[in-house]
Amino acid sequence: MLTLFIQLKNSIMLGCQYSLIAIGFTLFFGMLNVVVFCHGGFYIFAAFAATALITAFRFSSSPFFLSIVTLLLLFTAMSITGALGVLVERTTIRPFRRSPSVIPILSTIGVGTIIEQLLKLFYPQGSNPQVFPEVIRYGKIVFGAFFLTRSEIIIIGITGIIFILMYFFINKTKIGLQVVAISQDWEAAGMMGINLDRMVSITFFLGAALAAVAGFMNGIYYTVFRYDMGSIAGIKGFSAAVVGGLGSVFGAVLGGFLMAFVETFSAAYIPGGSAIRDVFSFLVVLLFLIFRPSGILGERKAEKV
Amino acid sequence: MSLTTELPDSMLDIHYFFMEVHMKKGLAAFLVALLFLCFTASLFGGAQQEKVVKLAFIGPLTGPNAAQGMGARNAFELAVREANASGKLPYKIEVLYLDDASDPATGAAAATKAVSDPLVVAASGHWNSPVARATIPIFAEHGVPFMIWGAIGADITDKFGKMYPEITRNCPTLVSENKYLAEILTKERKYKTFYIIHDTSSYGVDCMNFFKAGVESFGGKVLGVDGINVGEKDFMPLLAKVKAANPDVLYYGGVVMEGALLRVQMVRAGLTDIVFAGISGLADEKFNEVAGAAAEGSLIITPGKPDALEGWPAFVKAYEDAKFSEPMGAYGKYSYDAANIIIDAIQKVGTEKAKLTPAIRNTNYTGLLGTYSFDETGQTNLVLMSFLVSQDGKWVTWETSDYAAGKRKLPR
Repeated sequence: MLTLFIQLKNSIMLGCQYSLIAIGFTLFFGMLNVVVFCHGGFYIFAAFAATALITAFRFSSSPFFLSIVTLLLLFTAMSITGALGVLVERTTIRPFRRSPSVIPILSTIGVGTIIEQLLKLFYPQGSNPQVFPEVIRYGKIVFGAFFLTRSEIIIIGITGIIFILMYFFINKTKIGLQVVAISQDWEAAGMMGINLDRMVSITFFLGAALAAVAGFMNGIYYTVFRYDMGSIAGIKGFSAAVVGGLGSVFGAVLGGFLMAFVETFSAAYIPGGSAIRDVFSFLVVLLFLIFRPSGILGERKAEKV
Repeated sequence: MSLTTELPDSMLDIHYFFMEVHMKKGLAAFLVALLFLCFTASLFGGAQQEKVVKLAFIGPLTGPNAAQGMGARNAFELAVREANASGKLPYKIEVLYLDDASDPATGAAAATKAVSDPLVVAASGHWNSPVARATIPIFAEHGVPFMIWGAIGADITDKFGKMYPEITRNCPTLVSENKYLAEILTKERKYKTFYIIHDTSSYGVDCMNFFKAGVESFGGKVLGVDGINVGEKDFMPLLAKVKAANPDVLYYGGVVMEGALLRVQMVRAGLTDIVFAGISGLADEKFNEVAGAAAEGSLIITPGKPDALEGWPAFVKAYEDAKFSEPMGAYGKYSYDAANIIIDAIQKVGTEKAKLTPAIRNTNYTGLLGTYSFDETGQTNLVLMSFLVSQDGKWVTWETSDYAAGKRKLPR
């Protein structure tokens, strides 16, 4: 029973990261009908950016001050990554808006590879595993034999806050409603006077910034990262978005957690499962593609004429 | 130019024409003179000039195991510098450093580069056995003697060393390391129950098999075995399973990156009362750096027993004096000895590859770590190993540690 609870916690921790990446995929797809394959690149770029920033600017040891500085640096890393997202959209997606949809797939795969390789080449010792600076000191809350560490609580907390903020952003703010309008009907939204290009830029800023949060959390949680970890994170996030229903933010969250549950529980309860956990999680993706290609919450697409 | 004002256009052209011819003549004369100079220099000076012989060094200079590769590279460089400075050879030895990035394909490309350089007479390399398996046939086919200083997969000598006389290995295999670790843990430390996690590479699977066999032969009990993939980072589900099994020791058969991640997550998952152990795949200060405070009390086996050796302090000092920017790592001493075994053979039989191959195989060379000879599979007969514990972020020989002195205690 205890092990079951621990495994539930483990899958929630993994799910937090998958969902944050999946939201980006789903936002981009909802708006432009393109799959942005360099999203994992944003994620790993943010881990490097955050590490560099924290190492350079952390000068106080007082815990209160430290957490404020860390939070500020997290926002800085998010903004830089967001700006990278906007830049990538401008240079490799916007020019192909009227091209066949295979073109942006190729161009974003290219950008993703470029981001990874540049990090590997130009970050000091970029090809080696990087140690994420210790920003949260070890501590835990104990409930009998079950416990939560401080970093786990913070990760769950931040993810929860982001989910709530996303909900309000999409449903209550003017920009959010414009984003939804565009993803429902691009042309109609344009005719209603929505500045399409500006909204696309905002969406890319937001999506990349969320990937940055995921990269930051990966650093806090696992403490180690490497330049090539972006692509697999990107594939997992994309799969989560597909399982949840591309275009639906809430679906991306659900998909992220579903993927994490399948992975965790196949590693824990299937003999020899830890070596082939990805097989099980991608089997789930395949099953969805076959039996419910629109995903958990995706609208069933009627043939548009 | 005053000329332009004095001469009409047609004259100017002619003037330029002659100037050009004149210049071309000058240039030609100069080139001829230079050529002549070179020729005479090669005639007279060349005789005294040193002959250059190249060795190839190949290892993971970048990538996840770069720390291991750079340490070995530096030690190799040190041996070559010493040999060149000693003047005992009629050649100047140069080293062709090649990066395998721990990747078989990159390694194979590097090996091809090494064998196609006519000056390369012998090579030494590899920390990763899968890379060694990819390059061994290339070196052997071209008749280049190839000594392995750090890839410890059993089949490298069992299979390839038997097939190709060019292949030798001067470090112990993972078979000896795992057996030694199993013996210490069961007999000296009196641990009874073990859980084995291994990566699914051939290295990890070999480690699992030999450690399991070792533990069982010494009367220990293996409670469970699980594989993980290289490049994975989330081991929390697996560790919860290990926690429920409650073994004395969690053994990891794999290398630094996943090993350190596993160690950090052991603490996070509350497995603080279980001992963590592994073999030389983890023997890198990078493990301590990456795992941070969690590394404390981890146990490993490394090849060699340098502390007991006479020549060791001098070697450490020479390495420090050489001002390399990376520490020598667990296999630096082996690549140093590998370089010296090769150089010794060159000194004895010259630079012909066909003669070097048997000379290296039949060596009886006393190096830093002891006297090397090779058996019929090319495996060294010199087997020395140390038992280390992580203490304050460093690997420390067990005998000199606070743990052996009783000042600190392992979890069990």
